[in-house]
Amino acid sequence: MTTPLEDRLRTELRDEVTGVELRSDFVSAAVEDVRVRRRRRQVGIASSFVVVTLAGIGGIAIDAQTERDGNPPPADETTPPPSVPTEPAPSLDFADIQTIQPREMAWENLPWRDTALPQVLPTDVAAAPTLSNDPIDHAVALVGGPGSTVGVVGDDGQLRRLDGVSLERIRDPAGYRSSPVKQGSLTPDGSVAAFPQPDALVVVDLADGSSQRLDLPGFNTRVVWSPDRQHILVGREGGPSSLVDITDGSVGDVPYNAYQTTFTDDGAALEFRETPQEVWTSELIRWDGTDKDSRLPLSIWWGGETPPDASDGRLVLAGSVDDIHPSEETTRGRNGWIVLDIDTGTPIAMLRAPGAWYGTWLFGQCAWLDDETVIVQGEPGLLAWTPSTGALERVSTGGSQETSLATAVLD
Amino acid sequence: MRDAAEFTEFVATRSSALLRTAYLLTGDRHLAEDLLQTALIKAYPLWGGLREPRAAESYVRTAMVRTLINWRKRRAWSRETLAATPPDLPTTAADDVETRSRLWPIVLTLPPRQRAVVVLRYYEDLTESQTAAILGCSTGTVKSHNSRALQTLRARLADPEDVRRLS
Repeated sequence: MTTPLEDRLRTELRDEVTGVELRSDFVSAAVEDVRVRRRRRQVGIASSFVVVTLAGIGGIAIDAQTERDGNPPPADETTPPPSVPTEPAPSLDFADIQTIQPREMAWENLPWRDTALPQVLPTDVAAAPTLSNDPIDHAVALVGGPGSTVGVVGDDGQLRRLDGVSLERIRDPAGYRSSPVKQGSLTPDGSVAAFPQPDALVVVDLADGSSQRLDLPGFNTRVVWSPDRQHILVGREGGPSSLVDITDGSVGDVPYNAYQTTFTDDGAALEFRETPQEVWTSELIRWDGTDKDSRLPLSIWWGGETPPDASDGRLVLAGSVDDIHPSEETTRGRNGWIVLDIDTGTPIAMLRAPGAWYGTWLFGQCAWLDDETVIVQGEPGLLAWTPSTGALERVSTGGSQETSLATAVLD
Repeated sequence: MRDAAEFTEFVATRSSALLRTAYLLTGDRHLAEDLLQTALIKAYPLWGGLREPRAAESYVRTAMVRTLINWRKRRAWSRETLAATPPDLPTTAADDVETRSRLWPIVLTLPPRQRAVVVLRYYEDLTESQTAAILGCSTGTVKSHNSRALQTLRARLADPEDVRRLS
């Protein structure tokens, strides 16, 4: 027995959804998103489409496109974070949110940012001269070329092919393969590069071409330089991350996950970790190696495979927030690049990633160029974003998901 | 439903229907996609145990409803309303407002649990017990939410000022 009002409800609700259809790329994007986010909870995470590394004042590395030919590996347990009482997660002031719409990605609408990176990033590694025949003082970028080849962009903007070093494409237990160039490969000054390898870590002095290979069992897929350049944090699939002392070759396992960890200026490991029981929150864990280890709750969900990057007391990361801005524009997505205060966990600013940037938000670079400016990967190329002013500038074209390259930049 | 291929097939075949439910729950196309996506993310790790497609769809629908309610709880530090801008409404005289105005904008103003009950009962045609299972409450609570929702709809349909405000 139904009332007329209930009958009307049935009719009107069905009428209301007429024409509500999925956007054409929803299924592929949704499935990919699910896989990536689930994989990220594992100890090891395979390679990403596009990765960028800034060291100190800024190396950027855009990683090669991953070849995917397997299912995600099973999840492993991670080390519990330090148990410290926490306060409620600070919220984001959405008045500070900046949104870029796809139309703004017409590059002619943006001014250029003058950096050491060329405006058009050279990517033809196979045709480049060898580094031994055309040496450099330091690199501004690394570019993943065909197979396991590596291109080195000098501070003259020219591309060389790294030679004299035997490298393999990275692989993981699930069959994912990718370039050995990773976001964290370059040191801040661009003088040394580290490449994760199967069962090894290779470190190359780009000025003289000398290299060292350290045995490091496992499917190594991620590297992060410490600020003092004496240690390299290595992440691997299916096992704990390791801290390698390159001065003596010693290796020690660490409790934090290299895929979600960066170093602060004073050398502490800073891990952005999802809380397993709650989708929309995370924790910022500071591993000092002492009883001062601490964690902060965050109302942020780490978004992509792009690792976070710390500088001058702030962290930038690709993430999601559990909230919706009042305006129509920002209800179109909650994904973007977020800058937060390391000491308090308070979000400072967010640059919304429009839907067209889904892939680059998820996989693209996100790192500090200097104390004021962040570099992120848009569809056409690299963008400089200054959170304090909201300024957006073009940095360089090139390095799309399809070109399978890796780079680094010095300002 | 054990592997990634089956999950992909499920997403491909059932997302349209789930999206429509998500749209009625959120009132916004883009939020609906976010809600569905979030529910799929929650469902994926349990995929091995969701042997039947109907069980999988039921789980995703449940995840959508509960996630939406959770979003609303967390909205304390937000300034916006989850509902999209209601569609245009005719402003009518009180005597014919019930026949000429639309229910949908008023449904959007209902509290999340009441709205979820309305969507599940009158769009999905679920029983009270099925609705209670999704919401994680008793059938008595479902009846109560439903009764209050219908009471609100009737009251606001009869109030021309409400209809004008909603428009």
